[in-house]
Amino acid sequence: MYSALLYKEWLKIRWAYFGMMLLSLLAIIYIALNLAYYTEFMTAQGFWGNVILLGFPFYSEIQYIPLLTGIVIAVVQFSPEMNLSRLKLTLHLPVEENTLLLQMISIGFVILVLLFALIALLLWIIVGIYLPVEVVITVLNATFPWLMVGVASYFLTTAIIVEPVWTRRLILTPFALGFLDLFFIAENPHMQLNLFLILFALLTSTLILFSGYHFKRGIK
Amino acid sequence: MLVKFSRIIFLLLIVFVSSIFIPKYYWMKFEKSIRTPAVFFSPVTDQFLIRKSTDLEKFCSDPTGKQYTREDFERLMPLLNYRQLVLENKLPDSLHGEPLIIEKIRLNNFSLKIYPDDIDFTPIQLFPMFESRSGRVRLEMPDDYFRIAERMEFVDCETNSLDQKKSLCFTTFLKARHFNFPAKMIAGNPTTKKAFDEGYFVLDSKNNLFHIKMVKGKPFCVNANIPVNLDVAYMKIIEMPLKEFYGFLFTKPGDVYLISYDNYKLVKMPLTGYELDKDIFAISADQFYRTISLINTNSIRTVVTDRNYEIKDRYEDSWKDNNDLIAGIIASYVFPFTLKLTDINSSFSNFYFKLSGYQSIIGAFILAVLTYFILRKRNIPLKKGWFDLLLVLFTGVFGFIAVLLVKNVDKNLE
Repeated sequence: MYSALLYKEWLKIRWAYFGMMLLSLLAIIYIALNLAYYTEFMTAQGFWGNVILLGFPFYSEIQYIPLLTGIVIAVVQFSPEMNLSRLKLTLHLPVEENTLLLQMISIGFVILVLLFALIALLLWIIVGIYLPVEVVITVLNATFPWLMVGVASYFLTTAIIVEPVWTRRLILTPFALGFLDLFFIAENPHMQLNLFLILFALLTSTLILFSGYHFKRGIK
Repeated sequence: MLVKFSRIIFLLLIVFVSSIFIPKYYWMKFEKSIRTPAVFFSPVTDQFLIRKSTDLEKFCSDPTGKQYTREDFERLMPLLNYRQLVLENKLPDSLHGEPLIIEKIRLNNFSLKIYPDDIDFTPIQLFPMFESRSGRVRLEMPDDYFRIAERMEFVDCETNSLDQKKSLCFTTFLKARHFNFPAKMIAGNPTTKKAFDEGYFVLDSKNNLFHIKMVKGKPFCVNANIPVNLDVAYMKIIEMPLKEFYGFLFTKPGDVYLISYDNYKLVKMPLTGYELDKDIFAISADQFYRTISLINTNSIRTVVTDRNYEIKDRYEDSWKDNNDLIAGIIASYVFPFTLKLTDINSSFSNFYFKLSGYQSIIGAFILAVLTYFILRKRNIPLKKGWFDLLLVLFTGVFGFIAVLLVKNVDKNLE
C-alpha cells in the first residue's frame, strides 16, 4: 500500500521537485561563481579578511530557496487533492486516516531533507575549496535555519491547504508565517536554538491531522 | 488521540509565536528612549559633571545640581575638548601645575567601551599574524591566517592550504616556550588601522597567558606569568601609542585588569559588582585621571582614579527604565513571560526567556476563569478541557488567544 501511495505522490511532486532542485543548483552555482569572482577581484587576502574579520555573508543567495521549496512541494502535492475534494477518495482507502496523512507528508519530508542535505553538501564542498574549515562551519551553522525552514514551511503549508474552512486557514496562516519568520531572525544561531527549531518544525508535521480531522468530517 | 495531540501542537505554536511577537509589537509602540547620563570628571574643578540632555544651555550639571552651558562644559573639560578650545584660542597653558601640550593631551586621551555582546561573542578562530617590525610606516595584511589547535598552523589565502614550514617553525617555538596546545582563547586587534602591532594574547589549555607575535618573520612568544586561576572571560587588546598597557583582561567573576607594559604585570581596576552579561564597561582617560563606569539599563556607577588607579572620587546614579514606567507595569500584568530570539547583551540568537513576576499570576488567573466559562459554553467538561485551563494559567494571554482561536476536538465525531 505504502509503495503505491509513494508512486502516486511522486507523480504529483516530481516536476516541481526537479524544478526546485534546479533552482537550488543555480543558486549554488551562483555562489561558486561569486567565490571565484571575489577571490579574483578582492584578492584572496582581501576576500578572506572580509569573510573572517567582518563576517561578509557571501552565501546569502540560498536564503529563501528552501522556504519556497517547502511551500511549492506542499502545494503541488495537496492542492490537486483539495480540488473537487479528491482527498475524500484517498481517505477512503483501507488505511486509517491519520496514518495515511502522515504517510503522505513523510514522502514530501524525505525528499525535502534529501534536497537540503544535497544543498548543504554542495555548499560545504564549494566553500571548502576557497576557504578554511572554520569558515565552512560558520557558513553551515548560519544556513542551517534557512534549510530547516523548508521543512517547517512544507508541514505548515500542507496543514493550511488541507484545512477546509477559510476562517480556520486565516487563523493558522499568520501564526505559521510568524513561526517561519523566526528562522530568518536567527542570525548567528546558538546550537540550542537550532535544536529547538528542528524539534518544533518536526512537531508541526502533526498539524495536518487536525486539518484532516476537520476535512474528513466536513466540520464547518 | 493523535488529533488531540495535533491540536495541542497547534495551541503551542500559537503560544510560542505570540509570546515572541505580541510583546515585540507592544514594545515597539510603547518603549521610551531613555537617555543614559554621561558622567565626566572635570580636572579643573575636580568634580563630576553629568550630562543628561542635548540642550546647549543646560548642557550638563554638577552633583549639586548647578547647570552649565556647553561653553562652560568645554572650559571645565579642557582635555576632552582641546580641539574646540584650540580653535577658540581658549586652551589654558597649564593645569595642576603641568603645561598643556597638544601632543601630550592627544597621547593620553583615550576612551573605550566594552559591551556585554562583545564578551558573549565567538569570532571565527582564524587570525592574521602581522609583521610587527616590518620597517614600514603602515601595517600590511599578511597572506595567511593562523589557528592554534593541536599545533599552530598558518593557512595561505591564495591556495587555501597549510604553510608547513611556517607552521612547524611557530609550533616548535611555542613548544620550546612551554605553550600547551590547543589555545583556549586568542585575542588581538586584527586591523591594519592601528599605529603598530603587538600581535596576540593567547590563553593556552592550562590557562597560561602567552604574548605571541611575529618579529621580522620570526616567532616571538613570552609567558606573561599571570595566575592560572583567574577564569578569563574576555580580553580586549588595543595598541595605543601611550604604551601603558597592551589591553584589558576580563574575568568571569567580574574583575578587570590592565595587562601593563611593565613585564605584563596585571593592574586591577577598582570595580565592584561588575556583571559581564549586563553592564557596559566604559573607561575614558586623560593626562590626569581615569574615569571608569559600569552602565546598565537603569544605573551608572562611576569611579575616578589617578594614574595609579587609586580611587579619587565616586559617583552613582539610577533611574527608571522601561520596566518601571507605566507601559512596563502594564506589561508585567498582561504578559506572564516574554520570549526573544535576540538579546542586546549577546551576539548569539537563542531563546531569551523573561519571566514577569508574581503580578502576572493575577492576569493569568482571570483569563483562566474566563476560559472555564468558554469551555462550558463549548460543552467541554473539565475532564477534557483541563489542558486548555492549565495552558491559560501558565501562559496567560498567549494561551488564552490560542484557546479562543482553536476549537476543541469533538468526542462525538472522532
